[in-house]
Amino acid sequence: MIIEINTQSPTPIYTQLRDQIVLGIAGGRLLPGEDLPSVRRLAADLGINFHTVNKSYAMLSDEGYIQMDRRRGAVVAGGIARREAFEADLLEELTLSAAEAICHGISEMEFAALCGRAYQGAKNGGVSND
Amino acid sequence: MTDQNIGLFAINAFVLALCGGLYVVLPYLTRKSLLFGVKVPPEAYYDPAAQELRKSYVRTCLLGTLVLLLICAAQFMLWREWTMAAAMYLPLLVIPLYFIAFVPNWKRAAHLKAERGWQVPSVVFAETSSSHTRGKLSNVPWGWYIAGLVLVLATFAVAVIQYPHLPDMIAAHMDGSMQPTRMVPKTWGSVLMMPLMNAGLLVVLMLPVGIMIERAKLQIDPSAPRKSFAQHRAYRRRMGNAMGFLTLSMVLLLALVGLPILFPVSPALGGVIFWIGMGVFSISMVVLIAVILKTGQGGCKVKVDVDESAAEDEAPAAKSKTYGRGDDKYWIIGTFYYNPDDPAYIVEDRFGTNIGFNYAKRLVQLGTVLLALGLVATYVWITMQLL
Repeated sequence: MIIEINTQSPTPIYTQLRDQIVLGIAGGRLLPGEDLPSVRRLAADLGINFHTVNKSYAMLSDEGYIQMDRRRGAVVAGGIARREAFEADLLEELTLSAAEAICHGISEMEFAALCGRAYQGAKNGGVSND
Repeated sequence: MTDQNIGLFAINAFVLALCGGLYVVLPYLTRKSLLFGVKVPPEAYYDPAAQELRKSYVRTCLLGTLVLLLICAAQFMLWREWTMAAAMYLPLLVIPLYFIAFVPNWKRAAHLKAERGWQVPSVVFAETSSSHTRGKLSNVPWGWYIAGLVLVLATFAVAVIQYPHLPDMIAAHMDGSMQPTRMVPKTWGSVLMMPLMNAGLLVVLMLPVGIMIERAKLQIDPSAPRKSFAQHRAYRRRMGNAMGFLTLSMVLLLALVGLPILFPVSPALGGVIFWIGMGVFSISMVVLIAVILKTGQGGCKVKVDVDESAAEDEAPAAKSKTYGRGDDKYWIIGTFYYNPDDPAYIVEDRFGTNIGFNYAKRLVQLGTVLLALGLVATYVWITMQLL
């Protein structure tokens, strides 16, 4: 998959990288068991500090999206176990999003529809703007 | 001696004309998003002022090459005994010619960018599979290098086997029909000289170039990243194989030229051996030049069929693109990359199709100094031999 990093974005580069890899896994562009580039190679190709890539890989590894194999390096994880803690975090994030939606006058139905579109978009590799 | 001088003069003139010719095509091989080392939007390529810069650069190159050729001809007519020295030193003048032609246009291009307010997206790209395979070097066309290594090892083996049967004096220098022009006493050093040089050529010079082609950081067009990655794949495949073929042909040439040291040959057979080696080497050079001209910088001239609309979905960051001045500040006079924050050692050049280095890296600095010292030492040594 192609990773694109906006060097001027207010979002930190390690977060952008982490998010794109998660989107890649969800959208099927990165398959379970697939080798990811080494930290140094990816840093060199993106022209960013390798500590930044290391930080993203460490986050992804902690969250269970990738596994760090001593011989193969970073590998996309197989089945990612469902965790209660994750659901609690997700609910918290969605609550904040829902609150923002309410402030912007978005109804519950509309919010649910947007959530559905976001879910399908992540699964199919992109959010459509229709 | 006169024959040799004519040959040297011809080679000298050919090298000067070839360099001049390559200089002239460089701006047309460079990707459209680079104007004399300055990053610009691809459509800027067609700006009349940009076109005028390219024309002015071509005029300087042609004029400079003509002057060098005239100097070369004048030297041959007036001071023929200096032809060897001229063949060594005149080609060096193509280096200042490059800067004389390039630097003023780099300055004008930077002004033009400011004047027109040209901006480029502040994004960088990587492709996970490409980074992974290039990191592992699994796509380097190893076959050429393995064949070269087998050939070099074979010449070592033949030299070792043949050593006891060699006379006390062996050839150290030969003419075009492989007849000795200078003899030296037989020692392991003199007998293994050619295989050692060949091994050095293969391992120290050519193999690193092959690896650099595979490892260099890619430049990606932000408006068509998928196309850029596909073009890069084609570029690495073509350039990798062309350089591999050139490597094998050079190894073959040196192996053939070294053979008559071990097995003296008749002038007729010597001539055939020499021209077979030179023939294969020339073909590989022609193939390499053709690949460079047809492929362009990082494959920018390769036609690939990719669906760019799918790429939009892949990159959520692309939807909120920001624009800026790009990374021009890291390119000293638009030619030398100096960026301490970039972990990359090998990068694509900003002008032409070559590969360059990140001069902010200690290893690169050390390598450059060693190379420069080596070059100066070689020149001093050869000059002292001439005097």
